[in-house]
Amino acid sequence: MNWNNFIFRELFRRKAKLVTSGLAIILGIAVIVAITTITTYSEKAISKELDALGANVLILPPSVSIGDYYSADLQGGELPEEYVTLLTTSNIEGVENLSPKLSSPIHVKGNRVVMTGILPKNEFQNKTSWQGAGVFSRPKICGTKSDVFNLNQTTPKETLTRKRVIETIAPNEVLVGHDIAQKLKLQEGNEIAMLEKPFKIVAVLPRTGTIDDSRIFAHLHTVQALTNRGEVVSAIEVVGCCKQVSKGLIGKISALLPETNVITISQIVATQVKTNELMRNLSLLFLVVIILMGGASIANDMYNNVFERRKEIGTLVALGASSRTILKIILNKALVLGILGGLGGYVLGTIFALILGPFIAGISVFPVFYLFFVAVGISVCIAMIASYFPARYASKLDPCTSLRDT
Amino acid sequence: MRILFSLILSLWLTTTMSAQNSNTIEDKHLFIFFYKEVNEKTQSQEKVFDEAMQKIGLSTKFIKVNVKDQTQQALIDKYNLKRTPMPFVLVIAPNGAITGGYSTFTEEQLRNAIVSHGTAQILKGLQDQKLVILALQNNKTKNNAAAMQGVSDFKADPRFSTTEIVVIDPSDTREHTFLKTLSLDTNITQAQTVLIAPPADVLGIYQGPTTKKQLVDSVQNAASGECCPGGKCG
Amino acid sequence: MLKVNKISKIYTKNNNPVKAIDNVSLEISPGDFVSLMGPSGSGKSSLLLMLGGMLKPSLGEVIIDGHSLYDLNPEKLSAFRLEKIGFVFQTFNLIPYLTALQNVQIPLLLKGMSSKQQIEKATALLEKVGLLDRMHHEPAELSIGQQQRVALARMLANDPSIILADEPTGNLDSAMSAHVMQFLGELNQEGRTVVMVTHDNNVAAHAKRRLTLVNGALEE
Repeated sequence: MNWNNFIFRELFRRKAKLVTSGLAIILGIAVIVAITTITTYSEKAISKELDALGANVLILPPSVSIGDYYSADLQGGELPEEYVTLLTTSNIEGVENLSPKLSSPIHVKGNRVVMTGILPKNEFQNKTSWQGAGVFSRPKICGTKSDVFNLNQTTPKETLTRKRVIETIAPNEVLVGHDIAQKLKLQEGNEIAMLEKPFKIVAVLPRTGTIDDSRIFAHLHTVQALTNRGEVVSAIEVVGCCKQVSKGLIGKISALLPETNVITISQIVATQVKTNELMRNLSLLFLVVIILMGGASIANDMYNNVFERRKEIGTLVALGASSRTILKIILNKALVLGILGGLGGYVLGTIFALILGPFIAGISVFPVFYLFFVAVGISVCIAMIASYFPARYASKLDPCTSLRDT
Repeated sequence: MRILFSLILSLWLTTTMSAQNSNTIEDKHLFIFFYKEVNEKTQSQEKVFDEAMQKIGLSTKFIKVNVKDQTQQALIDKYNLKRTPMPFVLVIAPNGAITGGYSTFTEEQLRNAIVSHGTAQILKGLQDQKLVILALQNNKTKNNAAAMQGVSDFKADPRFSTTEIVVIDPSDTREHTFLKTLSLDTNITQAQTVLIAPPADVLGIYQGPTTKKQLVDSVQNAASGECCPGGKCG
Repeated sequence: MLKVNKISKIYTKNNNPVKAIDNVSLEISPGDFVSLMGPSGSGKSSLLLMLGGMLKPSLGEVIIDGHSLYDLNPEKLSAFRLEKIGFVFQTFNLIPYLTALQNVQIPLLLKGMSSKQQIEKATALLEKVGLLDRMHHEPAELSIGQQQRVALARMLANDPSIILADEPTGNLDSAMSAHVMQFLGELNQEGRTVVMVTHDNNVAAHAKRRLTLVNGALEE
C-alpha cells in the first residue's frame, strides 16, 4: 500500500460526499472552460474572416444592418448598378477590384438556393482606364494583377473563391457552390435550369465554409433579367489587398456615393470582438467567484473531514505518524480533489462549449486541449490553498484529545 | 438633323483609327455628352460642358446624345454605357482610345482629357487588353537597335504577338506631360523601353539594350506578385 | 528501561487547576509486565499516553532507553514511537475504510517499507493471529474479537519493544479476553515490556506487577 491508495480509499468511500465537495469547483471550471473554448474558436473565425476579407469594403443600401459579411447581399435592399461605373471612373485608388452582386433566393429541383448575379471584371475593368493619362499617375497600391495572358492558368472558380471577384462569365454560364452541387448532384459541364432558363455549369466551387457554398453564381445582367429587378445590385464588394488603402476608401466612397452604407469587415466583426471581450471578462469574473466559493466550500469540507477523522488521525500518530505525514495526507487528498475537479470541469465545460458554441457564436467548436492543463492547474491551486489550514489543523491535533473525544 | 449628326459621328468613328499626326478634322478629340433626361444635374453639367467646349475650341469636336434615342443604341452598346449614371461625358482620341469618362466633371478635367498622340496610342493598346511597349528613343539616344531587338524578339513570341509597340521621341515636348506621369526622364542618352500592361501597370523600365527574357520575366512576375507596398497584403 | 521521574499532569478547567497525575515516579525494567489499575478518572490512561510519548507531562520527564521522550523534537518523537512502542486500544481504533491487511500495513508504510514487503509481513502477522481468511475484509465485516486481533497484529507490525495496552479486553467477552491476555503473555515472554491499563482484577492478575493510581498518585 502507499499513501495514494490510502487517500483514494478514503475519498471514494463516500462517493456522494466526494461529488458534493468538488461540485462548486467542477461547475465553476466548466463555465470558464466553456467560455474560453467558445471565444477561442470565435476569435479564430474572426481572424480567418479578417485574413480573407480584412481589406475589403462593402457598399450596401443605406440603413442596412448586417451581422454576417458573407450574406450581406441578402438584405433585400438595392443600389443602382450605375454606382459601379461611378466607382470605376472615379479617381479613388483601390476600387479596381469590384464585385457587384445581386442575390435572389429561388428554387432549383425543389431546393432553396441563393442565385447570385455577379458582374465579371472584364465588363467594367476597362472603365478604370477612362482616366486618360491620369491613370498612370495613380500609386501602385491595390492594383490589379496583370495576368492578361493568364500565365498563372487561373480558372474561374479559383478567382471567385480566392479573390471574391470573377474575371469573365458568359450570360448562360453558372458557377455552383460546393454544398449545393453535392445536394443536387451537379458537376462541371452539366446543364441546369433556373427560372426556366438553361445554364451551363462551368465550375463547381471548392468548399469555403461560408454561405457561398449554397449559392449559384450567374452573370449579373442575366439575374436582373430573370428576376425582373431592373438594373440594380444588392451590394458592391470592393476587394482590397491593403488595409491602409481600405481605411481611406470608406470616406472617399461615402463622399462619392452618399446614399450608401459603406462598411468594412472590421466594423462587422467589432460586435463579435466586443462579445468575445465581454465573455473573456465574464470568465475572469467567474474565476474570482469560483476561487472564493469553491475555495470556501473545499476548506469547509476539509475542516469537517479532519474533524470527523480526528480519532483516525490520533491513531496514526499513536502508530508513529509525524505531523508532516498528517499534513501530507491531507494536502495530497486536496491535490487529488483538485485534479479530479479540474478533469471533471474540463470535460463538462468542453461538452457545454461543443453544444452551445454553434448557438451562441454560430461557429463550430472543438476541444481546446491546453485548457485541460489550465483547468487542472486552477482547480489544484484552489484545492491546495483552501486545504492548507485544515491540513495544518490536522497536523497539530492533540492525539490524546483526539483519541479520547470519540 | 439627327441623320446628319449620325453621319458625322459614323464618319468620325470609322476614320479615326487611321488618323496619324495630321491636322485634319479627324485629328480632333471627340467629346460626347450623354444624357437621359433634362434635370438639374444634366443642365448644370451641360453648362460646364458647353463652356469648356467653347474655351478649348478647335482641337475638339463635340456632340450630345440622348441615351433614349434608339438610333444611338449601337454607340451606347459599343461603350457599354447602358448602366452608366447620366449625364456622362466620354472623350475619344482620334485613334479611338478613350481618354476620359466622367459623370461629374470640371472644365479642367475635360481639358486634360485631350492627350498627346503617344498617350492615345498607348491607351488604345491597353484598352484593347494588349501589352504595350513604349520605346523612348530618337536619333540622339544610344542603343536604339539593341533596345528594339529585345522588343522584336518579345513580340515574335506567339504569346505576346499582339503587343502594341509605341515609339515616342523623348524630345517631343508634346509628350512631356505624359512622360512625366510615367516618371520618365526626358533627358535621356540611352534608349529607354517601358513595358506596360492593362489597365495601366508599368511592369518594367529598361535602360539601353533589352532582351526578350527581361520582358518575359517582368510579365510573369507581375502575374504572380503581390500588389501592396512592401509586398505585404491584407 | 522505562523510567518516569516525578511527572505531574495539571489540567486547567474554568481557571481552576486540576491535577490528573501528581508527582509520579516509576521504573519499569525491560521484559516487565505491569498492570495499571485505578478508579475511573484516576489518570491511568493519561499516564499510559505519557509513557507512549503522546501526552507531555506538565512536570517531570519520561525516559526510555536513556532518551528523555519529551526533549525530543516532534519528528524524532514520532520516529521513536514508530520504532519502539506498540499501542493497543480498548476500541481497537482500526481505520474503517481499510481492510484488515491494509490496517496492519500502516506502521510498515510509516516505516517506508515497499508494498511487497508490507504485504508479506502483514500477511504473516494476520496468520499469527489466525485471521488469514479475513484479511481482505474491512473492520465492519469483522467480529469484535477479530477486530481486536487485527489491532494486535497491527501493534506488532514494527516489532515494538514496549507494548502499551489501554483496556485491551474492555470490549471483549471472557473467552476473547483470555485469548488476548494469553497473547500478551506470550509477547512478554519474548522479552517485550508490557504496560497494561485495566479495571479488571482478573485481567490484572496476568501481570507480574500491579500498580494502582489513586487521585493521581501511584501505589504498588
